[in-house]
Amino acid sequence: MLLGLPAHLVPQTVGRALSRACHVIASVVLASAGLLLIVNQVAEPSYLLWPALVALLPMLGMLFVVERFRSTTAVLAYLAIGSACLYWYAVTLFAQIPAVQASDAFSLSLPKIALVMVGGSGLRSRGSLLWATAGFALGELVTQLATWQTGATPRLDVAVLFAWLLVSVTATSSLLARGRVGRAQPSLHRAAFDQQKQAIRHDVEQQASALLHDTVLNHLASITAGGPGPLDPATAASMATDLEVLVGQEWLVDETTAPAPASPTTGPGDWTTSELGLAVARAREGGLEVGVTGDLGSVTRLAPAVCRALGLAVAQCLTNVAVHSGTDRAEVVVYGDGVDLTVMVIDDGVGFDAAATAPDRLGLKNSVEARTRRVGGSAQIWSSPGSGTSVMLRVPVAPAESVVPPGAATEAGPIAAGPGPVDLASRTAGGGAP
Amino acid sequence: MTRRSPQQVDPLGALSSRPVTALAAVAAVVYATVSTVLTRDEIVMPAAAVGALAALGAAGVVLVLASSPLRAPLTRWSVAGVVALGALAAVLAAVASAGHNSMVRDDWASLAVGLLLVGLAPYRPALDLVAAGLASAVVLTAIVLVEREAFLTDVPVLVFVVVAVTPVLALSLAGASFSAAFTTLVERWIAGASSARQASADEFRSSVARSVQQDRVTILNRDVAPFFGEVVAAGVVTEVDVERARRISADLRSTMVAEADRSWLEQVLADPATRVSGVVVDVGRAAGRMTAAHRTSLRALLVAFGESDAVLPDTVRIELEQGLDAEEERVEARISVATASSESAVRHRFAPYLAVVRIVFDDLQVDPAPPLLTLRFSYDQH
Repeated sequence: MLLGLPAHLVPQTVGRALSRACHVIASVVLASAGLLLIVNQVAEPSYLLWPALVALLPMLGMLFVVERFRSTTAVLAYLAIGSACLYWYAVTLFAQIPAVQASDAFSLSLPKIALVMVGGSGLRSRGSLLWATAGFALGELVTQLATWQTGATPRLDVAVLFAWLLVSVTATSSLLARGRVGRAQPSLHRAAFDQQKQAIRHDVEQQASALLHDTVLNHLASITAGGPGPLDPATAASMATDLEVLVGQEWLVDETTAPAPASPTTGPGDWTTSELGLAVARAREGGLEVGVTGDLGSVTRLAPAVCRALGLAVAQCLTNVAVHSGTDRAEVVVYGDGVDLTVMVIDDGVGFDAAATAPDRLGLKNSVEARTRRVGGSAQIWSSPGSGTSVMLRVPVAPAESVVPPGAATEAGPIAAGPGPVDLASRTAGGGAP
Repeated sequence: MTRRSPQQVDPLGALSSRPVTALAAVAAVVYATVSTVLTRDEIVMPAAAVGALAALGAAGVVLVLASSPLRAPLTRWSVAGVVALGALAAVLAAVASAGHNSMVRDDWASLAVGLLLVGLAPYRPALDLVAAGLASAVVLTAIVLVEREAFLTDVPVLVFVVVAVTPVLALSLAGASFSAAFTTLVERWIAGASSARQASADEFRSSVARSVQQDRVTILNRDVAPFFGEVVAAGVVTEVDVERARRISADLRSTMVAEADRSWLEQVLADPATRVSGVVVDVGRAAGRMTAAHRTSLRALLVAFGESDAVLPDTVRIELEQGLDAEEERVEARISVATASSESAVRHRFAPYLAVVRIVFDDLQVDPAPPLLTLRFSYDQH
């Protein structure tokens, strides 16, 4: 997550925001001038004030042009047209309203302030300072001209002077102010970048651990659990295949973005050929009795990456049942609500104390929880000694565009990896279940 | 319209606009004082006039204190305080010249309050400033309506209202548009920069993937491959094999757990490039619940520890504790590091980083008293 602007972008960003603020002031004072004209006209129908009202419209229009294009030409045009309009406006007021007889009358100050609030055209503060000064000078010049022509009293307009000071001081000081604190900004940006890199590395390491767990550690566990004796030929074959792939191929690519394995078995429409179906089939081959119920068709609507992750996670759950639960029965329940697909893996075995699980138990943490999270899903585990175990996996049915890796610091969204086959995991998942 | 404030999207920028804020407060008070002196003929209750200036001064003090980096972020309460004191000042100023105020345009309240609201612009979202401006305008309108009998000019009362509210509306809306424009521009830049970094992140990811795989292959080739090879070739598992399988398995698990289990804070302290080290006490794994902005600001601070000689960077201690109550979803955090120089030097050296942490976490408390620099803050379990 980035925090703050780099130093070289500060002048133009502050400049643009100040410009916008100036234009808002100009719009408000012009609207206010128009409102005063209308109220006066209504109260005193003998006045002829519409020419002054008409003079305000081009100023408002040019203000929008300046805000929209921010070019020097637009600013010059605003100042030129605005001065002409101001002259017309001043002459009308002096001639029509007896109360307005001095060059610093409130209703005269308003369009003069609008001229000062021309804002900046370019990127630098010097520009807006220059333009505000020009607007100030032109406004006074034109008003004095009108004053002189109509015989009104010339006076120094403190309100307009104040407006000019406001613009000049704000523009200058807000740009000069970034001294010492500005030097911390690069560190902040570097921290954001390093944080992202660290999250990526962590994510990759977690993924590698999950794959190793699904393969090598499962084989080792089955050797340990089986004790001395002849090696089951199926296990032997699967060990050989896994090792060959792990040592010899590019296996560490992103599960979330890698293309679906070009296996002919993953045809659409039939859940038994999905990753989930294969996981169940493998568990059954391993001697586990697996009952499957629910909305099985919705499994086929999952994005390939999500489906694969789900299959691998369920395979790990079933492996856990076979190895740890002390029962040879598991229930898989599938239900979907259009947004999410939920799969529950339930056994009524010995259960375990979820809080007291040894920290080296990678199965649930990496192969189930982290893997589900990587495709935008979640995993919940309920278990206590003696009452069996339920694992609920929820994954999004929608395409995996919204997938965010678990690091959270990778706010940049899904991280794509180079294309490559990832069928290792799907071929070997659960292969080590006894 | 964005709901965030310039202070949130660019904490350091808000820090550096403090002089402008102070200037706005001073200008408001000076202008009010000068106006009061110039229109002294109209004043019938000098005490109220002084009270009005005092209330405005108090509003200015609230503004300056609340915008301090030591108190960031500036809260909505501070805005309410400025608006309330400004309204009080306007009312007292009207009372001071009750029945003798001949003109609205030389009343200082509208412009002075408007200046204070402009001073708030770098710290609050646009909506707050609009609301503050409207509230002040309502008060000023009410005052004008009460005062209207005394005015010299014979025009509709609406004219007086327009004259009275134009300065405060113009300035508060200007502040609001500055806040909105600045925040939007920064957010847009951040979005652009983040997507530009995406490309390099992708590249980084594949290079990391290669190196991690290389690591794993090395381990597999050393321990696992020979073992599997022998077992498969023999077709029989012996007592020795079982023992060996158990040992390899324990080895692999411990290295893999070390990686998969390390929280981002532990990784920062373990990374030799950051030059900080120490202890993380985080039983509930609460570090993983920090947002990206939390992480960035803390990482910047920790890295700054490592680059400074004001503290001893190998004595960092970070404790994260989840609320005991299940309802209490906050994590209490405490970070301490031994200091190697004076309290003021420490405060000065880390001021910008602490200000950013303060804005990101909301409730940071800093205690720089030697021998430890201690930070306390809390955050939601997202």
